[in-house]
Amino acid sequence: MDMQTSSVMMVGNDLYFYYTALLLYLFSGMGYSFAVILKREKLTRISTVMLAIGLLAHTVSIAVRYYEAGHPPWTDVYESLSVVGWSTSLVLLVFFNRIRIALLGAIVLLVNFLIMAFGVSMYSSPTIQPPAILNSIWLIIHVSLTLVAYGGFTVAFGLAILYLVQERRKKRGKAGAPSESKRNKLPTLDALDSMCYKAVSFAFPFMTFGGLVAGAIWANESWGTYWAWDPKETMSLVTWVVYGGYLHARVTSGWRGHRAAILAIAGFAAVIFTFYGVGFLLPGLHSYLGS
Amino acid sequence: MADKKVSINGIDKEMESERDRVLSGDSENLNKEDEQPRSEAPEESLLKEIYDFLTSMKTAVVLLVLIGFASFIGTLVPQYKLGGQMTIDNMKQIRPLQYRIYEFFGLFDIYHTAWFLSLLALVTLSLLLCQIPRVKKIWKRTMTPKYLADEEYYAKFKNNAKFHLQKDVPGTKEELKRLLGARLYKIRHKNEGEKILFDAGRRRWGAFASLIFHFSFLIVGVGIIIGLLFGFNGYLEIIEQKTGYVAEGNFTQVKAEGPFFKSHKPFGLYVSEFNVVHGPGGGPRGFVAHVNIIEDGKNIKKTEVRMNRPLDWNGYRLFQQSYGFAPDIKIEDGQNISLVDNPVKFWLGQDQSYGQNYLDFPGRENLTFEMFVVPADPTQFGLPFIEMKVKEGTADPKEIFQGRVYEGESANIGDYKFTFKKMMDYTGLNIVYNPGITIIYTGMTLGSIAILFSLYFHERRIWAVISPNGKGTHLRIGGLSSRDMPKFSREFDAISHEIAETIKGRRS
Repeated sequence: MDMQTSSVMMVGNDLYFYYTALLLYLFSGMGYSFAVILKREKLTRISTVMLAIGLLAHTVSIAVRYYEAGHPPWTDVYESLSVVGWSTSLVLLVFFNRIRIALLGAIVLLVNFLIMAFGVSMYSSPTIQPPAILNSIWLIIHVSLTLVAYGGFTVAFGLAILYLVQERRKKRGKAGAPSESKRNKLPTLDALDSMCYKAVSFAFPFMTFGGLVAGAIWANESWGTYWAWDPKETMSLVTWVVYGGYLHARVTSGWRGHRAAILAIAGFAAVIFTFYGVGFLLPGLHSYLGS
Repeated sequence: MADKKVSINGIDKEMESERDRVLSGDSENLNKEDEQPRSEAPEESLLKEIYDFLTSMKTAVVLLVLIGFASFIGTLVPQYKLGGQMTIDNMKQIRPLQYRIYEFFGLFDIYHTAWFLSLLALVTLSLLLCQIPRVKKIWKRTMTPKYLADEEYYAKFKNNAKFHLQKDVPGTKEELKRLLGARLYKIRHKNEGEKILFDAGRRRWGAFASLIFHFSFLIVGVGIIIGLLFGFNGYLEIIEQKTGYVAEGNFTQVKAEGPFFKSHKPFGLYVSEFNVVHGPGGGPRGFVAHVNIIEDGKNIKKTEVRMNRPLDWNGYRLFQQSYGFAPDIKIEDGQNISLVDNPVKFWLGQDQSYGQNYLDFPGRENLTFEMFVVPADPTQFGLPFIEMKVKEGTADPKEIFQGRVYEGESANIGDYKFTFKKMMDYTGLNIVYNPGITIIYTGMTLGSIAILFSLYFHERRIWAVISPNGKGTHLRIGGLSSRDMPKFSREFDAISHEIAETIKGRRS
């Protein structure tokens, strides 16, 4: 038995990089917002560079955490939210390289900042050991892939909001006004809709395999039960069904545009409830998040 | 072409539905030639009605919404099988009406009610039946070439182009074959009079991925049912230095037993030691039961059951699921008669930091022991101890003892002698036989791969008609993609550009 106490290291070095990333994301999000308001193209570029550096710092933070904790760093609230934030930024950066919409950057980074700021408020020392049940290879697969899916869904949410914003602007006859600079002009409704669809289709296989399948395998390898209707399992199934409905309604019933955007937002609400609601409010096998 | 205005309103919407019709195989109706009058006699049989109901997309959506809603309710209402017993008992006392209503609808075990299971069965059936007509459609759409000879038809595609080329018909045909072939299109063509018709497809199997994805539900469902019919799930608690038997009638609890389950060869497990492995911070990192497997009275094998590392024996899979404290205690009365002289299981307290028990004794109704056992803290020095309150007396029980007894110590309590001989643990093993699990895993893996292909690899199709035009040719092409139209539009533009460049001509 180890006689070490848990007070040896209260704050890990990961936190410095985490804060760096957090600030860079905030500045980047603010930069994007100003780019929208002031219609300055240059600000968009600077913001994207800040986002990229922030992502780099964030990657280092996760690596340091892994090294200091000695286990994959997605076992508690702080660690999981860090990975959600990381994958959101990554998906945003990849998307941004193609489409360059400052408003998307502003919305997604704001959501991301809130997620990560909440995460750091739940900071735990890297020396605190996760519950024994999490000591499994399937943890790495299950949780990491699910969090990547959440990142994709977050971006889809941002795009759905953009869609609704653009739709309103269009109704008021603002869209395409000559005063808008070319870069910061929102893309067409069709393009937004199609990007939102892409983000969901990117995330959905991750949710399918990472969230549900790997989760079921993990449960079966750890408890001998692949499905127990535990609240988190149930809610992730509900989330999966909502996004499945989104993909389905699109292909078979031609649900695009407005209705699809609403579904994407509903899906994100289910993600939030699955991630926060179940972890904090409801008991169950997954409620280690709250402890 | 690149800055073509795209809007979802008006004409483009019409084109999208055109696309859906062409890709879904309904294009026959557009090419009036092979139209078949739909002369299905209205069969008014009940079976047909049921079939129509189940294959309707609306039904599937309504069922899914209902299941989603019920599942959500289940996360809010305490569940018997998810540790909600105490909350439910509480509600029964405080709000009996609410309790009765909830109980009536089975809300306390919502996921196992007949209505919920029926919804699940119905939606699975509906999903599967919806696929049957798709199999034929997709097969026909992808496997049989479809030539579009009518040049007017091409204008309906969002991606279409018209060329006047300098090469002759065979030359244009070869060039087009080469161009599309270089982009991995599989090309089918035929001559029709002076014209040559093309039907080129790429990633045609992408269409089957969606089908396979839906059929993987069937595989998973079959696995679940096999597990329910032939499987077994029991729970067995064994105290350290004792032997427990994995055999019918010996389980602490039988959680599930399929009607066709046949017991496997029984065996015994002698638990020599149970350990909680602590991490550097003091929190538990793992649970290990060191066991000897006993068959026919003989020690067969020394092994362990470790959390996350189950043990397979005689077809059963044993999981280290739970544990608790079972301090070895002895209670003697004034005449040296032992009331207890063995390890006694205590149930675990909230954060597993203590165990709890309450003992009374037949024939001595006036004597009660209320006990808490606290194990040794791994991060501190110290012995395990039992904290207890002992009461005696019939009408008005009086407390005759309150205090701590450490491991290896005794205490005199009135006429009684209490000895805490040794701290022991017991292990709780989940014992599972699930013959369906491989099928479930297969179905889930297949489904995961299929959804990946279905969403990441999009079917594309390009049609063309080459017709002579003086010395040169007239080329009309149009194309569709099952998903991700913008990407396809870019590819189509690139192809159009290449045609104009290499076959020498102009696009009109």
